[in-house]
Amino acid sequence: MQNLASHEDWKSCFSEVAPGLLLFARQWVQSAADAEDIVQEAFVKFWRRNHKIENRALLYTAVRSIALDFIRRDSRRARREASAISETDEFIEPQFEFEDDTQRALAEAIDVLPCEQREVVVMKIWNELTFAEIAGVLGVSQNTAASRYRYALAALRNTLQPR
Amino acid sequence: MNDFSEIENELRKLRPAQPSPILFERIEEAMMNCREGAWSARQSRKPSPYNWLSLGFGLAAAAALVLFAAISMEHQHDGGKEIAQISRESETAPLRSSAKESTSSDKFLPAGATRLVYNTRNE
Repeated sequence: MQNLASHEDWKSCFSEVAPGLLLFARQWVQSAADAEDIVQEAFVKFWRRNHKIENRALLYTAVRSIALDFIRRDSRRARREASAISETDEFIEPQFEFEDDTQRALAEAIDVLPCEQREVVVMKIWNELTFAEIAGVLGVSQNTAASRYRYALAALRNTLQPR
Repeated sequence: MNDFSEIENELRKLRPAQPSPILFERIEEAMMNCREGAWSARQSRKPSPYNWLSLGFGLAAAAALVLFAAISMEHQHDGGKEIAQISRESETAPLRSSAKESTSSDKFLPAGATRLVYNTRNE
């Protein structure tokens, strides 16, 4: 509810939303450093325009658009990195802090979700956005956002069910 | 939605990785740059006294031009009247003299003749 105009406010707001934002940005980029660059750019832009934190959908829209720009700008580098990663099995910073193997399996299941479903799950679960806000960020209807969420949860449940 | 409550709870237990402390420093730095940038932008947006001066000169010149145009138009208008009067006098003078015995010159003005004078003068 606070305005991000003052110096102290941005820190408390950012520490609250940063983990979810980084997770959201990590959907498009492999490295945590790139995700931090994207989040930094989006957050500073959001703060500079004096937006309020209740308009957080704008923040996610900014992260998404900057991430997509980043991919377009850096597609060649990304391809090179992807091939290098597949060849050398380079270490990629985990997106979650795991406590057990079930959580690790769940994180892996999230990774293989279709992008359009994964982004809805990330915004809903770890950023606590409403379907209306998610629909605003993605430019789709609320029903579409909700059905993508349901498909994603169904897929995750199927993956984790013991056979 | 209730069917998914279990998987939703499992997902919520997963905690996203925390940002690095350097990120806060970087954002703080960017915010400072931003503030300085905004301040300098505001400064540069401030109109300088030279702008006011030129604006003043411009307005004064425009006012003088309008005044000059108004005066010249008025002058032209007055000149037209004079011409008409002069023509009236000059053309009517012989008439007056000829008509002196019978009628007073002030009482009769040949409108057609005056009109003719106007037309030739204007041409």
